[in-house]
Amino acid sequence: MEALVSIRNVFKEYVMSSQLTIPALNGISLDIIKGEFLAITGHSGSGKSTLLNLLGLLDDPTRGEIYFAGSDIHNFTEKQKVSFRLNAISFVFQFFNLIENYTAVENISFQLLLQGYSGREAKNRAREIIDFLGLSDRASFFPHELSGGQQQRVAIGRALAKDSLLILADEPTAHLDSKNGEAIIELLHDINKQFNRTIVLVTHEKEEARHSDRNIMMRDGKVVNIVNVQK
Amino acid sequence: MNYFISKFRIIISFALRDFSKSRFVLMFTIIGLSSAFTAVFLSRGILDGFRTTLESGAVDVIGHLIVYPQEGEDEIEKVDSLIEKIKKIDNVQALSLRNQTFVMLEYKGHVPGSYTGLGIDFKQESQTTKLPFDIVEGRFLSGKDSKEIVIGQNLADALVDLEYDGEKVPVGAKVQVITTSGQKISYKVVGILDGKTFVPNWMAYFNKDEMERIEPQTKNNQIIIKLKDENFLEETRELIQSQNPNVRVRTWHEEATYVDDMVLATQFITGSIVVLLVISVIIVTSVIIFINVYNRRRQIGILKSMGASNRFIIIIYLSEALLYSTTAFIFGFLFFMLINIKSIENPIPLLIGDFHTEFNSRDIVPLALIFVVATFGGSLFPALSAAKTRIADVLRNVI
Repeated sequence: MEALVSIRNVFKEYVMSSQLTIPALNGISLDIIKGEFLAITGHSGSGKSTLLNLLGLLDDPTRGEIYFAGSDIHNFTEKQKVSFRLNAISFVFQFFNLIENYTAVENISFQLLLQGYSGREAKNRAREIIDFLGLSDRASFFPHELSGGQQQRVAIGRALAKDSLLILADEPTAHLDSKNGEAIIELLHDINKQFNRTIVLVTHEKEEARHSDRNIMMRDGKVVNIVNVQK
Repeated sequence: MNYFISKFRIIISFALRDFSKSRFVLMFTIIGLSSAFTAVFLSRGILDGFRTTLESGAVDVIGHLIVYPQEGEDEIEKVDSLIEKIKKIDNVQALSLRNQTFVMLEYKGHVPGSYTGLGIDFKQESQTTKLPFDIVEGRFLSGKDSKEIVIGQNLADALVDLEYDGEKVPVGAKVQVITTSGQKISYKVVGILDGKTFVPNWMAYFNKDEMERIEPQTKNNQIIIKLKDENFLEETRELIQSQNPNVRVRTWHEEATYVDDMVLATQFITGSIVVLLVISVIIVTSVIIFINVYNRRRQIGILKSMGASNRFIIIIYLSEALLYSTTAFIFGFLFFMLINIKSIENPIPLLIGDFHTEFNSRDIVPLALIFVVATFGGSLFPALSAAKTRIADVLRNVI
């Protein structure tokens, strides 16, 4: 099986002062297989979100290498990093992080416009995605007019809009009730299967990790267990 | 090309949404910047208006060009043929031959000093200058009675006492003129004149023939020329001078140097105001964009996580600043035009003339450019700080 991402002996330390350094990741090595649904679980402070930030080039490791499709992404120039974030990966955040002045459909089309789609193409594709998400009647609503679950669907739609290979979801259900949370996890699984997107889901809910292909458990910045889920 | 147009459209659309998000803040920002822009236009309008008042005041009295005899000569040589030659020049509209000398005036035994006396021909003068129409009391010289005199209003005041209190020699009173030969001649004051500039208000005006009679050495020592088009002032001067090397041709600028001095002083004041306003525009723009950046750091982080480049973020905030200043510039300009129209309708009567602001269309482009630069200058630093927002900090809720 082909590894989309290879993480090799990665450390991340936060220097708080000359005398205080907090280790967040302690020599993590891991492969993420193309097309898999990978769940990363662990308690608060276990390093799972830090790992996700490193995968998404939102932060740099203290040492170690991260290869994406064979390229060491942390050696990228700033321009390459921007291009990588624009085209290769998508994020789904726990706080939804939609653009507040844009409607649901505009939030999705904006991502496409950023990628260079024409206005018409972006609008049409965004409409298709809104329909897929079941939010056709909420397309012209602004984020503050949507429920948490609906906002997170739009955020997932935005991630789906670009043809990225990897979707990084950082506790996407943390601010949702259980019913909406389940629906969001189900939607991510649908996208994984239907669109063959590799998904890395960070969660502290073991239940959410149950249906993933693999479940990586982290503690104190280390991988303590890898479970291949039998389906 | 399409790619850049598409990027440009997103940036403008994003900046517009951000710009119009808080209508209350937007309104106050636009009002603040518009006021600054109005003040800048107004400063320019005051300067232009003041310059026009001074310049037209001078030209109305001494014309555009003045011909004098050669240095050391009392009279212009072959004046009749010279006048004929000047009249044939296309750009010459009218001319007036004058006599100018110094005279002493006495009123009720009071002799305040020596003043300029001007001998003028009413017909020629009325075609060339506005002096015959600047009478504030009585009438101008008729040309028929040689023993009448018109006095500038400052001189009329000085003849009564040294205090400038508005108390003047009354129309109809008799004043004594003491010539350079010491002769005392009585004249009847028929009018008081306000030339709206300093020099003519300190002069005494005689019929030209009478002046020639009492001061024969000053005969024909000045020709005042009014031009059709002042833009060809220098060319016309050179033409007259080259055709007549025996005279001196001077422009009104050279004669009324006080105009340039006063304009320069006003220019310094209005220029300083403009500089201070531009600085305030830079600071206000900078503060507004800083506040916007501070309030929208989360959004900036989101944009960057979506793949927006630093350049994209910078251009968004520069565009936003440009939207603020363009809107404010338009409102500021319109407000100035309103003030300008009101000022033209209701000019302020000053000692130097009726003053109103002026709009010069040539000011728009340079002022617009200054404000574009000021806006970019003010927004560049906050835009750069926006681009430095770290995505990880946004996601960790550190900011």
